[in-house]
Amino acid sequence: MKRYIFLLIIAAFLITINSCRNVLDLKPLDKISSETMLANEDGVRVFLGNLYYQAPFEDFTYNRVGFHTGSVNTVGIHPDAQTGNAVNSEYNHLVDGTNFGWWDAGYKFNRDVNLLLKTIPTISTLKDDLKNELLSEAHFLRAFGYYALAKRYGGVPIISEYQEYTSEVDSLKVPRSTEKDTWDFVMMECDQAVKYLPSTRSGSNARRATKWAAYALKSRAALHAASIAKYGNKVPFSGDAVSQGLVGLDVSQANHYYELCIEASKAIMTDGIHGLYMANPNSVDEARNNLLALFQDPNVAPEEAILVYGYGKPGTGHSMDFWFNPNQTADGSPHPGRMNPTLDLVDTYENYTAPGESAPIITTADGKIGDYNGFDSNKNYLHFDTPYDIFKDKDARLWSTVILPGTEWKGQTIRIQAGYVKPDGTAVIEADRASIVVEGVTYHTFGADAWKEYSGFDQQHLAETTRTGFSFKKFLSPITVPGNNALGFSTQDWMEFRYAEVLLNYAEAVVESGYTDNGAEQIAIDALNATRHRAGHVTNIQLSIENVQRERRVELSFENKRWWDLIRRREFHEEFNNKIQTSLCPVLDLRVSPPKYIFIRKYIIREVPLSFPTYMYYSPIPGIGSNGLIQNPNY
Amino acid sequence: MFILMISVNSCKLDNYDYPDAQLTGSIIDSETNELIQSDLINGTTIKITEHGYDPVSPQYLRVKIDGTYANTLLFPNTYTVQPDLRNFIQIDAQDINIGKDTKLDFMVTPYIRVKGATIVKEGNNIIATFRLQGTTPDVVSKMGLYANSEPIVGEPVRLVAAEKVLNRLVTEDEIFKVVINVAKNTALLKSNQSYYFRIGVLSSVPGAKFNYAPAQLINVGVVTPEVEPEGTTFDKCESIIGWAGAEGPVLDPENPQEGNYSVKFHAGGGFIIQKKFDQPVDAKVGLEYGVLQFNMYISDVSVVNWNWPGQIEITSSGNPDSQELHWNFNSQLRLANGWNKVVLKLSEAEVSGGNLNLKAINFFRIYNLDVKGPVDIKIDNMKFYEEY
Repeated sequence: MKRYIFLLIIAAFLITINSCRNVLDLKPLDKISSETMLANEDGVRVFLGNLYYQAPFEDFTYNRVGFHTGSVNTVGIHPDAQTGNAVNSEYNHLVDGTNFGWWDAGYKFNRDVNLLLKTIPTISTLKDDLKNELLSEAHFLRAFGYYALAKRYGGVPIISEYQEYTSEVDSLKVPRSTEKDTWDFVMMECDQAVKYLPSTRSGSNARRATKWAAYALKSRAALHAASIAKYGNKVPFSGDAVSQGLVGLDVSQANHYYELCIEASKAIMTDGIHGLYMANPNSVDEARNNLLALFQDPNVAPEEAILVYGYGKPGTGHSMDFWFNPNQTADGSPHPGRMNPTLDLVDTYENYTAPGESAPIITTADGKIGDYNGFDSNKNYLHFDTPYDIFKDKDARLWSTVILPGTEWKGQTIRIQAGYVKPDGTAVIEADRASIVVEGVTYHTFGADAWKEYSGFDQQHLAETTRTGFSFKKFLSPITVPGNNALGFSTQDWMEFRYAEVLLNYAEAVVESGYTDNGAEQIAIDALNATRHRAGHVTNIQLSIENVQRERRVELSFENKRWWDLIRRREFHEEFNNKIQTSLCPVLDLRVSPPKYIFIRKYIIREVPLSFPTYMYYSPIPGIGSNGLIQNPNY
Repeated sequence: MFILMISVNSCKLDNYDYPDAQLTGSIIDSETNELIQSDLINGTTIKITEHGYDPVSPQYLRVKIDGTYANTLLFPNTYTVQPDLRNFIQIDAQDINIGKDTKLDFMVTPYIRVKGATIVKEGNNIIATFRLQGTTPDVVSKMGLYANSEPIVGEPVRLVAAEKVLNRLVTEDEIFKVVINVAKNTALLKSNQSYYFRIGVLSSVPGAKFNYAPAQLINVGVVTPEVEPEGTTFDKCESIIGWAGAEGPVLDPENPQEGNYSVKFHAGGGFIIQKKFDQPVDAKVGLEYGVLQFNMYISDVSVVNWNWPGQIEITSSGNPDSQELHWNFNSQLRLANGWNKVVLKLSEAEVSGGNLNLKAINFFRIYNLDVKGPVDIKIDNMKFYEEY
C-alpha cells in the first residue's frame, strides 16, 4: 500500500513538471490581447467605454462602500449624510477609516489609460486628427484619475508611462511626488485634454468628454488645490510626508491655483455652448418645477450638463429610488426613508424676504433658535394652519430638494408629524403610536393610523420613517420605478459636471483670491447670483466668502460635493466637533381649536455627538509594506 | 510524518521570548510636582523606537487622562523614548533600557497651568472659576468647561461644552469664569444625574493639546425651569423725569408690566426716544454674560421699516455715540403688536465712541426714523441681569 502511494506521488510529480512546459505561452480563450483590442477605432471605443466605467465618477452609485455600489446593500448612507446635509434614519455615521478610498482601482485605471496613450500613435488605421482627439480624451481621463488620487492622498506616485512587467520589481516602484507636483500634473493633463477634444458631442458620443468637460475638471481641481494652499495651515501636520512635501501646499501657491480655476471656468462661461437650464423663471413655482425636472432627467438640459454619466439597463443602474423615497411612496422597496435631511441644511436656504443670509426656521414668538432640548410648555410657539406654511418664503431649491411635511409627492400627501400636544397640555412627541379623540375627531400621533400612510417619527418603524422632519426628492423619479423592490433599478442619469458648479467655482476663486483683472469681480457677482435667479430670487447679493459657500451648499446639495468642500477648506473638524445634529418636529397642537401645527427645533432622536478626526484630511495609503511609500501623517 | 517535521521546524522562526518588559511612569510638572492631565483622544502620546532594527516603525503610547502611562507588553531592549503629541514643552529624546518594571517619569513644563480651579453648582448653573499661568510667550487660544457622563471628559469627549475664545496673553491674577447652564441643556444633562466637569485650556503653540484641571463629579440636582433673574432694575418707569422724545412722554396706567405706570410716547412717524439718568446706574453685570432687558409696547409694527438702520443705545457719556453700546433694530428686534419683552445681550452689542463704563450708565436711546404712520410706544421695567 505504502509503495503504491509513493508511486502515485512520483507520477503526480512528473505530470506536474511536464505540464509546466508551455503554460505561460498559452493564449487564454476568453480574453483578447491589447494588440487585437486596440487595432482599430471600434476597439478603441470599446476600450474607452470601459475606461469611462472605471473613471472616478462620484455618481449615484458612489458612497462610503466604494464606487459602483448600485446593487450593493449600502444600508442607504448617502455621502451627503456624512457631511451634515442629512442623516441616515438608522445610523449615526460620519467618517470611515479609508475616507472613500480609491487607490488600487485608481492605479489599475491609470495603467489602462497609459496603455491607451501608448497604443494610439501605433494604430495605423486612425487618421492623425482622430489620434490627437483620442489622445486628448485619454489625457482627460488621466487627469480625472489623478485629481481623484490627489484629493484623497495628497502627493502620489506619478506613473505617466505604461510600465512593462519585469521581475525586477523594485524598478517598477515609483516614489510619491510632492502634492504640488501632483496637482501640477493634473493641471497639465487637463491642458493636454483641452487641446484636441471636440467642442460638442452628439449621438452615441454624447457622453464622452468635450473640451468643456476638461475645463470643468481643471476648474474643480484647481479650486481644490488652491483651497489646500490657502487653508491647509488651519490644520498643521508633521512627519516625513510633510517634511518631504508629499502633503500640503505652500500658502503662496494659493492665488496661482485660484487663477487657474478662474481661467478654466471663464473658458466655459464664454464658450457660447453652456449655460444654466431655465435661467430666468417667471415665478418661484416655475423655478421649483424647473429644478425638479433638471435633476430628474439631465438630458433635458444639454446646456447645463457638461459631462453626463448614464445608466442603461434597469437592474444594473443605481438605487436612489430604492433607499430614499419617503415611506409612503416606497414603490415596493422594503427599505425606503433612509435620507433624512437635517434642520441645519433646511436653515441654510435663504428666505426670499431676506436675501443674503441663512434663514433659520423660527418656531417661537421670541424668535430664539438655540434651544434644542425639546418641547417646553412655557414657550410661546408660533401656530400654523398647515405643516408647510412655515417654509413658504424659503428658496425654491429647498422645495425641490427636500420633501417638506404635508407636501405632495408622487400623488400623495407626505405626512410627517412627530406627535401632538393634548388639550390638557401633555405632549406626546416621538413616542409610541397613539391616538386621541377631541371634540369627536380622532387625531393620530403620526398623522395617520396605519404606518404605511405616514413617513415620519415612528420608532417602531424607525428605519423607514424620517427622524429629522424632512424627507428627500432631488433626483428621484416622479413616477413609479418598475422593479424598485430590488436594488439597481433606477436609471436617471448623473451630471458629473454642470454649469452651476463652474459658476460657483469662479465666484469662489475670485472672492478667495481678490483677483480683479478683466472685471472679474463683477463677473463673479453675476455668477454667484445666476444660480439664485434661476431659483426665483430677484435681489442680488454681494460677493462674500460666506455667500458663496451658502450658495454652493444649497445649489449642489446631495451632489456629493460637500464632503470635498469641507475637506479642501479644512472646515470638517470645525463643523463636526462633538456636533449633535438637529431636527424640526412638526407637532399638532390640540390645545387650540381648531388644532394647529407648532414646530420644535431639537436634537435628532438617537443622534450622538460626532467629531471629525483631523488626520482624515488625508487618507491612508494602502500596502505601505510592499510598495515602500511614505505613509500620510498619523496613520 | 513529513508534515509533522515541517511543522515542527517552522516553529523555530517564531521562537522569540514573550514580551515581558514593562514601561510605566508619569508626566509631571517639574515646578509643582503635580501630574499633567491630558486627553485619551487627541491627548499626550509618547513615541518609543526600538533599537536594532532598520527600518523600524515607532510605537506610540497614549497617556491616560490623569497623566500616567503604562505599556506592560514590550520586548526587552534599548529604546529611544520621547513625548510626541503633548501639552507641555518638549524635552530631549533619551535612550533607555526597558526591562522588567522599568519606570520613567517625565519632568516637564506644561504650556499652561490651571490654578485655583473651583467648580460649583449654583442653582441651574455649574460655574467654573480659575486663573491661568502661561509658561511660553504664546497667547491662550481658548478655554472651556466640559461635561460628560464618563471620567474621560475633555474637549474631544463631552456632551456639553461652554467655551470662550481668548486669543490673548493672560496674567496670573486674572480670574476667569466659564459656566454651563444646565437648564439650557436638559436634553443632554438629566435631572439628579451626576456628571464629570472639567476645565480645559488650549495654548496657541502649534500642535498644542489641551491642558486641564482634574475633573469633578457633580450631581446637577433637580433642574428648575428657568426663572428670570432678579438683576438690577434701573428704571421702573414710574416717573417721566429724564425721558424725552416723540410726542410725550406721559405716564400711562393702562396695563403696565411692572408697578402702576409705563412711560408712553406717540409718534406721527419716525421717533427718537431717550432717557438721561441723573444718577449713573451700576449695571452690576459683565460684558460677557450681561443682558439689558425692558418691556416695550408698540401699537402697530407694520408701519415701521425694520430694515432701516435704527438702534437701541446705552452710554456712560450722558450723550449718544460716545462710550456707547448699541444694537441694530433689524438684527436684534422681533416685535409683535402689543407688549414685548426686549432681551439684548451685551456680548452681541457693538461699541462706538470708546468703551462703555458698565458701572456708570447714564443714557438710553431708541430710534427709528423710517416709520410710515402714527404709532404708540410704551416702555417699562428696565433692568440688567446676567444670564449664562
